[in-house]
Amino acid sequence: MKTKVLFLIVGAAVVAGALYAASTYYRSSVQSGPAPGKKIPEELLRTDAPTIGPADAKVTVVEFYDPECEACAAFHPVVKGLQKEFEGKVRFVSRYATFHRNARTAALYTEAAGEQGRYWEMQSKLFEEQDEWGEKHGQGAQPLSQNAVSTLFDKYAAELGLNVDQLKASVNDPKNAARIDRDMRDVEILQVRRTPTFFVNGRQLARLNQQDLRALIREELAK
Amino acid sequence: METVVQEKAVTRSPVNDAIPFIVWLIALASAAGSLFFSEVMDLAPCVLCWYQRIAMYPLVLIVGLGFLTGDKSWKMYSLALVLAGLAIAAYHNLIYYGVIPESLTPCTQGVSCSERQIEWFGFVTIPLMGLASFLALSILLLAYRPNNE
Repeated sequence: MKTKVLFLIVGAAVVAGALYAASTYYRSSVQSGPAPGKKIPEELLRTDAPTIGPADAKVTVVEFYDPECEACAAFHPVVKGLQKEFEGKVRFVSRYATFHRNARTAALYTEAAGEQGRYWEMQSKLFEEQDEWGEKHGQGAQPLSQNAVSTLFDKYAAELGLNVDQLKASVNDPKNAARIDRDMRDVEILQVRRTPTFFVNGRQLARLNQQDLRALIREELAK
Repeated sequence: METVVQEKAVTRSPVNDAIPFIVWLIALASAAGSLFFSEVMDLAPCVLCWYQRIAMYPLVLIVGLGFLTGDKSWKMYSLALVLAGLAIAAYHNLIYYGVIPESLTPCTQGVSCSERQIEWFGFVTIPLMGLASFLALSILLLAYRPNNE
């Protein structure tokens, strides 16, 4: 019996060790990113994407996000915290991956708010109010119509003190729609399959959590 | 009396005795491997993969406990799961390699059961690994003769 227990323990330890080693190897290979000296692809870093932080920062964090994605909303305070923590050292770039039904409309409103200089406020506002306008889960849940969502977005814009008439004109501006569609093409090219997806100097974050993201930023800062 | 001793001598072989542990190890490695694909590599399991997991995961406990306690029934319980898993794995591979057209399968939502997610060395795919595991387990279990201790 004792020998058998030992056999099982050793077997389990070997398999667990192999699993751990494989996980570590896989994550580091995902995060290996572009080869040293190789340029970050244009699809990842569009010059007209909304940005926080110095343009010549040593480290650039690109986030692909969906305004209607719950994980993005949940992770948003972490991103805000990191923006504060690395203020002046790291540039944060915001890109869209509008996978959900009303995400594109939300992205249009965010772009429109950006034209009034309130991009980041609108982004946060949409995350905060996501329960109200976002996709509902569970039995009998009905998605909101585009009209209903737009009405809510107009209300949020008014609460932020934006010029709503001007905002509506911006929302219908094909230039903003083109930018979101361009982001979605980049999403395809970069094979972004889930949101939020982060790239730190072109290195994709393998596992979504605060420690890993911070560690990756620190690693790039230390280079 | 003599015949009993002889029978014992026939069934007691080191290879036979090692089978429960090997079976357990294969089941454990398969379970760990499938979790690696879904949890580490973020490859969503398709429906047929889930059915195979349902057959594979309990084996770790059933075979492990059988091995520890010497309860002979573990072979029967495991074999039932393994053969069910083998059938699903075989079906999955037929779809995956295009022998059965996918339009006839239940995998219409989520991940397609024929989507190629991994191809190591040009031929090692996830459905093939599943089939290999279940096949090895079936052969080992069918070959195993519980000792009359």
